[in-house]
Amino acid sequence: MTDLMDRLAEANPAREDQRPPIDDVWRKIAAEPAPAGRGAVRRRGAWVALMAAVAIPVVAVTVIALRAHRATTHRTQPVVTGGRRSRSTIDPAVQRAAQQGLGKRVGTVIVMNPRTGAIEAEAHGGTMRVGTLVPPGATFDVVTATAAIDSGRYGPQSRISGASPFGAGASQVRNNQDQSLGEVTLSDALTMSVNTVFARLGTQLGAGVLRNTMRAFRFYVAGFSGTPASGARAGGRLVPPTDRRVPLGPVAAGQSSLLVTPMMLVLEAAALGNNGWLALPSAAPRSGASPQFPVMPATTARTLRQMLRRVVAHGTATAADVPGLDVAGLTGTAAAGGANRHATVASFLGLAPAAHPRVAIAVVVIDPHGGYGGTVAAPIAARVLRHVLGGSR
Amino acid sequence: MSELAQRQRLEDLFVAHAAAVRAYAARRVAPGDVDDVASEVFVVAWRRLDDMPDDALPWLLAVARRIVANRLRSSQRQSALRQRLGLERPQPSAVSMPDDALAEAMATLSRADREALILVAWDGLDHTRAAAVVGCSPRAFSMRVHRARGRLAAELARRDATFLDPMEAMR
Repeated sequence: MTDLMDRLAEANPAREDQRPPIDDVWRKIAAEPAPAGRGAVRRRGAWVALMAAVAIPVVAVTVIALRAHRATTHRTQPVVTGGRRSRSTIDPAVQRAAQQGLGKRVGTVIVMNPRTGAIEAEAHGGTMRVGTLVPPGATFDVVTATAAIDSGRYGPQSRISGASPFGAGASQVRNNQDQSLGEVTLSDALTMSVNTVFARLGTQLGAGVLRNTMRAFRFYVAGFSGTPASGARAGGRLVPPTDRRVPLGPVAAGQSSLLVTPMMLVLEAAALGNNGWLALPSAAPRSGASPQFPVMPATTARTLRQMLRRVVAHGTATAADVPGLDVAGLTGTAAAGGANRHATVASFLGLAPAAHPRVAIAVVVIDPHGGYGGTVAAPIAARVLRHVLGGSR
Repeated sequence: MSELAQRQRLEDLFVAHAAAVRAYAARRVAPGDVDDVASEVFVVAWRRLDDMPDDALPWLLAVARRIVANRLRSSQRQSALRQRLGLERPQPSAVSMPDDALAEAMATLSRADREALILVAWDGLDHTRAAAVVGCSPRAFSMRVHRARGRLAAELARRDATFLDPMEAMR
């Protein structure tokens, strides 16, 4: 439908060729109070000044106390300390970029070489740890899409209904803002992150097919080089989607009680990036070839990489795009489920360059302000990828 | 930030974004009000320089959006009053488009659909930035654009027999 958008763009009644006179702006501002600070307080009188005199020290003390608290309890923890650096695959420059990208946020950034499994950076901020389980949100769509394409019954252009809601009761899945779509292609569904399409796909494929794909990706495989079990939680345990307590539709759309580690997200990206083979992840240098496990055929991996490229070029992950790096990826947003009802788990998994990936990356941020994978996690990935690939070319 | 630095910051913002903000206004209000709306946006920016995110344009357009909405509301109130007093006929839309068939088809869309399409096609924003302007999630915005595009294509196909959207035709 690009022609339609071109036709609409053609009918644009006003192009950007003129600025308003800036004098108008300054004239209007002259009639305004100063933007902030002491001037504003003085104008509003002694009463406000008194309130400020009480409030400012209280706020200042609180901020200092919180900072001190965070410094002792929520420090960003590099996995590699100075002494081990020479015996590790961690690249100090990439590690620094990952930590700077994360800043003071609660979250994790992992950078991995998809060919060798070498972990080039792993930064944890705040309460996040190596094995912290988080809801994957729509990043899980890549697993359901893999199962669909691998089954031979679906391709990127297969049309599936995006009507919302889908299912009832505990297995009901809704689209964002409950928007109902007609039939959309699998590729478009990934690009726009249409939950109900993946819920429908999952139920059409069946629990067995989904479980096999998850197994191939090494979900549930505790101890896969430090990757704890990931899967749907029922009755306090992590169980596969074939368990009848697990609602299949929501799991296929990355919802329900599905939990993963950030390492799982980077493994998903890495398997696509290594032509369907998963290289055993490791932070210790290996002599000789790394062990490789088959996940999907190379053609399936290539198709999915092209679909993920579209997500970054036109979809929910545009903030991860770095010109010239050909980034592919997928975003996810899920409720964090803590005391803060607004908090979200914003995630991104990605690859670059899409045609011949040299880097796989996962970014997970627990955002107290309810940000999205596309607005919080994707920009961090762009920053780290620019650092990794921008410098090495 | 000193006042001088603040003034410099605002001038920088103005140089970078004033044309885009003015064009945004020009597509939505009567020609006589365009400069007024655009300069108003930068007055608000001056007041809230500290709140400005690094990617300033979506923020500025979100301010412009509120100013335009307020103006439309008050002008609608005025013209409703004038109409009741028999002083004025309903005015056509402030903005005219060269493509009549498209303009008519656009007019049948809901306000939210029309806004989504225009933010992408005219203001040239990607979905993430456009979502920041209207204050929804990027994926909600993508879906809105997708549906609006479908509705516009259907409406056009109905009105404009010569136009066939290739994607629609392939179904």
